[in-house]
Amino acid sequence: MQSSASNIENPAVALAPSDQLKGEVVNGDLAGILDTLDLPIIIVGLDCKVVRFNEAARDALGFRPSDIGRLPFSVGLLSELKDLQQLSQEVIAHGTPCQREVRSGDRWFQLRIAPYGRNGRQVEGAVLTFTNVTAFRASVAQAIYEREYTKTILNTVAQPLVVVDRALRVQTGNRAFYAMFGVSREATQGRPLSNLGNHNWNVLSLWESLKVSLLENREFKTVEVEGEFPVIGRRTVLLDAHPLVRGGDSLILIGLRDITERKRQEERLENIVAERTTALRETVGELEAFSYSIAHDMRAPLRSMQSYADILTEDHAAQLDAEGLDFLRRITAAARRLDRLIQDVLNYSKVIKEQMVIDPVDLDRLTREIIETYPGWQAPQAQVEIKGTLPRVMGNEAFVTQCISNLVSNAIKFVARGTIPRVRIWAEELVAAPTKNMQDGGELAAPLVRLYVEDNGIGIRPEQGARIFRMFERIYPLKEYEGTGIGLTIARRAAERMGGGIGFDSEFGKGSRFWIQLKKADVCQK
Amino acid sequence: MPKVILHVEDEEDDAFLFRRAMTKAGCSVPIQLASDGQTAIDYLKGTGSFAKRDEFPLPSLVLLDLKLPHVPGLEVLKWIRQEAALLVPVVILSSSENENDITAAYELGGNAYLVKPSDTSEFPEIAKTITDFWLRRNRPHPNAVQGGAGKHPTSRCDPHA
Repeated sequence: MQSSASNIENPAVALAPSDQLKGEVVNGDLAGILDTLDLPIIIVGLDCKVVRFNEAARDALGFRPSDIGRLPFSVGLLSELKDLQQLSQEVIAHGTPCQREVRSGDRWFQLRIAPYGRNGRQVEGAVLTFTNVTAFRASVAQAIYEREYTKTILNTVAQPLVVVDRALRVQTGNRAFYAMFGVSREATQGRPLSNLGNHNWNVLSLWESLKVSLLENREFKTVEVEGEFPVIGRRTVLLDAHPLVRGGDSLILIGLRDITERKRQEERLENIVAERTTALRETVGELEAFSYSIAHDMRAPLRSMQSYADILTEDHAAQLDAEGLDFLRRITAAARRLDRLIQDVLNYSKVIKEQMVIDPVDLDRLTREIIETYPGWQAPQAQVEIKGTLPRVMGNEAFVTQCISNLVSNAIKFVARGTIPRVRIWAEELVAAPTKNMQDGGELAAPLVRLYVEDNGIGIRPEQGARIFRMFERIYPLKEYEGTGIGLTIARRAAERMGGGIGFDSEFGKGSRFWIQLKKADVCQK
Repeated sequence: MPKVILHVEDEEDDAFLFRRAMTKAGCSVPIQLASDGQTAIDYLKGTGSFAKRDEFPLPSLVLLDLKLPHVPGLEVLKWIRQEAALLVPVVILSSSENENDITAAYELGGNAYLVKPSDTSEFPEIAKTITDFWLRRNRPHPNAVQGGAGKHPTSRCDPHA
């Protein structure tokens, strides 16, 4: 603005200041040049009356040739600004230019009134230039509005924000920022971030992130800074940064989040969870050990009771009547039942907690041995048939024994009264499904073996199927089929712990077919 | 011919049922019962109420439980093996299957380690094993004291006593 104003003065100096001089001085070319300018120019004489104006003044301000010799602020649009008349007089009187922003209708002009005189000596009048600043003013107003708008938003949001410059000096922060750290704007602005907050911001990861953010003009996400801050104490703060460009200047907008409380809560929760898990694990361990030792210690006196009952039966039967002998038999039977329950509880304890090694197991030998052990499983009381040679599987011999003896025992037990139990046992190799990464040379999954135990028993109703593997679930009354209700639970846990499974299908009234599934032992493995 | 067995056992039922099982297995040798470790040592020393050797002869076999009140079984074993004159075979009869116990028993000079069944109905089988092997087949150390002469009183722990 300044420079354009001085450019105008020079040609103005060459212009004729008054009517008398017009003929000699005014150069037609200069008048022409004056007319080409898009800047309304009015020249007044010492009497402040219009001497000359250019075309722009005619178009923009409504000056007519007949207005020459009149006071400019009584002409056209300028007639609204009569009080500026005096300004021209002052400029001419003092010889110093002045500027004023004036409004004409809906337009704004920067009015500059500058004295002129030939060769710069004596003032002979004044040049009035009207720079249209309507658009400029509008954009300034817009900028001011936007700045206020942004400022209001920044100061309203709860998230602390701070802008730092290239040297990582604090440019400005929002209210939340100053509130968060309990510092004043004055004490913070212009200071390097590294000097603030007990030097807690001197964290390498933050520094590098900021540098990268500046250099590559990209935002970075979430650097965590933890430290002891003045005023507010120990805090954990998350920072996100976003580069801003102002002119040629690089700035970074940093958003901060105080996650101290969240962290503390998380830690507290984690501690609570850890403590409770430990306590729970201890309790479970204690309970397991407790139930095991209770069951174990219960067995010895029980067996003693049984033994004494046996002695009574053996040595003193003669002294008892039929009723006494019946009571003795009941004592023995009840003791035997309790003993079986305790044994099953112990077996279950072992299956859930005992350390176990998986080895190849000779299923064929093991199954035949188990069957031979039980007198009640032999002909003619029962028919147990093993079809073919059972393959070797990967398992734990004690666990496999639990599975087989429980399945076969159930198969023999649950038959209709008067039926001779017929049990068929066989194995099938399941075709292994190819693993996902077969094409990449992945290994074939180990083939699986299913051992089936099929009976001619009473079968299981479909709606009862879900219950049978649950502990102490009984489908049939104890009077009809004695048992502890733990057998299948043991078998399932044992199969699961060996990485296998258990299942069955059954037709009510016709029989059941239970199976356990284990990995096949590698033929090469011995 | 062996004269007496010293059974060191604190469980009355076990002691009684084991004695009965031994009798059923055909063992005719009297069994002296010591219900704790100190009593066993006192018996073998022949001190106090055990002073009369003809009444309480030195045993030709010791059956030793490990979990005993006052003086534990392994301490009794240690003491026996420190007594050069006592060449009596010591058979551990304990419910413990703990490897440390088994190792310690052999290291301290135990002659055999039998796991006492928690199921007393298995006592006859183990009684038969002991009778057959230790009382019939096994030849003791030639210098082992073969005990005093004379009749033996019934066990102090006999519930029928």
